[in-house]
Formats: sequence, C-alpha cells, structure tokens
Amino acid sequence: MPPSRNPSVKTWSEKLHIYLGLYFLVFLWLFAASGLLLNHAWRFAEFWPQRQQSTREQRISIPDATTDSARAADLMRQLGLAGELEWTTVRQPPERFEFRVARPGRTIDVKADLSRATATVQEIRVNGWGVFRTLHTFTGVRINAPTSERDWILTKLWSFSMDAVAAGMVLLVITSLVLAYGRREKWISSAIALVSGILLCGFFVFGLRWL
Amino acid sequence: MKRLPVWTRDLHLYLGLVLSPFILLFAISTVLLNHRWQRTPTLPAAAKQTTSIDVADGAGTLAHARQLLDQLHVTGEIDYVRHNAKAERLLIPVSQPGLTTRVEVDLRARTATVEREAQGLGGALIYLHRMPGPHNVAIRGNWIYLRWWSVVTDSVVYGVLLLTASGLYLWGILKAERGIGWLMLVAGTATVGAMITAICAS
Repeated sequence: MPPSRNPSVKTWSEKLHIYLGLYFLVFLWLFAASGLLLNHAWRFAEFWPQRQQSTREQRISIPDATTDSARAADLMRQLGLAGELEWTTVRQPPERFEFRVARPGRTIDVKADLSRATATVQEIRVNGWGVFRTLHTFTGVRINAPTSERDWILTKLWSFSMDAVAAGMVLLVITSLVLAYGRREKWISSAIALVSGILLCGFFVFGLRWL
Repeated sequence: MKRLPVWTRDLHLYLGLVLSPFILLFAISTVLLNHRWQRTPTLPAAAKQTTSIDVADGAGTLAHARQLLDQLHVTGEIDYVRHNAKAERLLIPVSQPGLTTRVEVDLRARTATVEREAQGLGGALIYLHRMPGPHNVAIRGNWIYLRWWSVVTDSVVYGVLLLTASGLYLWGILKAERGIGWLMLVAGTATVGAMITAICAS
C-alpha cells in the first residue's frame, strides 16, 4: 500500500476500524440476523403459535402512590415482576388498574382490583426466536406514543447499546473511507463501488417520491 | 493460495464501499427510532384535495384499491384497505419513503379525498428501516419498489455478513493486531451476552 499523506491518520483509522469492527461484531450479527427474521415470515422461526400462557391471582396491598407509573412500579415490586412498563390504564370503576410489563420473550398483563386487593397476572412467554426478534425492536419507546418513557434500567442500557452500535457503524464507514483513500492504486474502482452504493441507496431514499 | 488475502482485501474494500451508504441509512434511522424522532411540521396543514372518480365493483380488495389510486395518480405501498360497507366508505393509507398519502373514498358520492403529508428525510429513513417488516405480511410488497427494497435489504444483510467474515479473515492474518483484537472481540461478545442474559433472566 502506498503511504498516505498523513500516516498517523491512516494508522489510527486502521486500528479503529479493526477494533470497532471486532467489538461490534456480535452486535452486528444480532441486529442483521434479527432484521432478516423480521422481514421474512419463515416457518422455522415461528414463535407465536408455540407461546406459553399462564394466569395467576395474587393478593396485593393497595399502593399509596399517586401517579399511575408509581402505582404500577409498586405493584410490580409486590408481584415480583421486572421489565419495561408499556402502558397503564384505569378502568371504570376506578378501583380497577391495569398495566403491561414487557421484555424480550415475556409479556405480562396485570389487572389489579384495588377494592378486593387482588391482582390477576397473565403472562405470555415465547421461544428463543421470539426473544431474538424482540431484541431488534426493544427500545422502550414507540414513535406513535410520545409520552412513553424508558423506565427499566435494562431497557435504557439496551437502547444505549443500539445508539453505540449505530455510532460504531458510522465510525466504521468513516474509517473505511480514509483507508480506501490511502489505496491510491484502487481509487477508480473504489470510487465506482462507492458511487454505485450511493446511487442505489439514494434512489430509494430520495428517488421514489418523484416516480 | 497466496492470492487469497489480496482477493479478500479487495472484496472487503469494494463490498464495504458499496454497502456504506446503506450502513449509514440503518445507523442514522436506528438513532431516530431509538429517540422517537418526529418530523417538525413545516407546512401549515397537509395538502388535501377532493375529486370525482369511477368506482368499480369489488371494494375492499387490493386490486380495487390500486385501480382507484391509479385514477388519482397516487403511487406507493398500500398500508391496508379498510372498507366500511355500512357507510360505503373506503380508507386507503399509502406510503412511500418521505411521503404518506391518505385516500378516503365515498363510494356513494363517487368522490375521493386525497391528503398528502411530507415526512422529510428522517421519515424516509425510518420508513425504509422498518420496511417490509413483520406486519400485514399478506399484502406487503404490493408496490414494486418496496419489493425491490426488500431484495436490497436482504442483500445488505448478506453483504454485511460477508463483510464481517472477510474482515475476520483479514484480521486473522494480521499478526500485529492479535492481542487487542482478541480483547475487543471478547469484550464485545461478553457485553452482548451479559446484556441479553440480564434482560431475559432477571
């Protein structure tokens, strides 16, 4: 390889490219493979028909908290549940309080009857394929639910790791461009490859709305 | 055999360059999705327009909806078709990267209201990230360009897998980066493993 104009930039780009690539390798495999699963209804990866459901009733003490999320957190602690609080709702009469806790592989609906101090816990468990798929989309927020917030520490960590993978991919692309620039004998073929990618991607991002 | 590292290096270079815009697309849209990005409205209201149309039999089917959309010059992926037989109305939401169109048809009056809303670049990236996706599988890909996109996304995934395989091979023959390389690989694997275990087992 011919020496680049600034060898330290090239050397550091190469090191960063290798280290980031290796650190995020399994993350990348996970998100790539789960993305593929989400786009194809492959039978071998079915999880919903094989789900397991269970229901139990448990006595609870009435939570003192005033907000719905605090009440749900109190009941989750009493019922020994962990996960991301998806939603809460107060049914009529107001003594009925319901919420959903979710995490990859498990969805738990809690229906609390505060007048009787009991809660019905309905749990749905899915197999490993279900877990794998949900990890791809497990952000704790939904684009059409502006008030939802991440409340589980592990959701926050997982969501942070998604951002980290995204930032890592951007850095990998930047360092790959620096490294490609350093290979002068490949400039023309590299430019053809890059421009082909840009044109194809640009067609879908910008071009389709003009068709 | 001596040429294998050279070929692999070239493959890694060219494949990486072709895929890099797609990798950026998925990386940026991941951050937008993860932080619930919403388009700031720049227009006072979505553009709305009512016109007369010819309505054939078979309301509620995809083919019927496409025939109505052709009359209205609306293109894109039909999200779903909702037929309210009692009210004699049809709702057809149509999407394409960066633009959503809502078509409401009054079958009795034979008129259609078309409401277009631009979603901007962020909306386009999010749409492409989520498509084709696991929902409405039976009708997904009813727009040819979304079928093409589906092929492209699959190719990007297989390309990324090939890219990582070639990257691993190139790292394997590069003796200078073995130590820290192993450390990074083990650290990354342990991070993923520990997080998944904690999420699923806690």
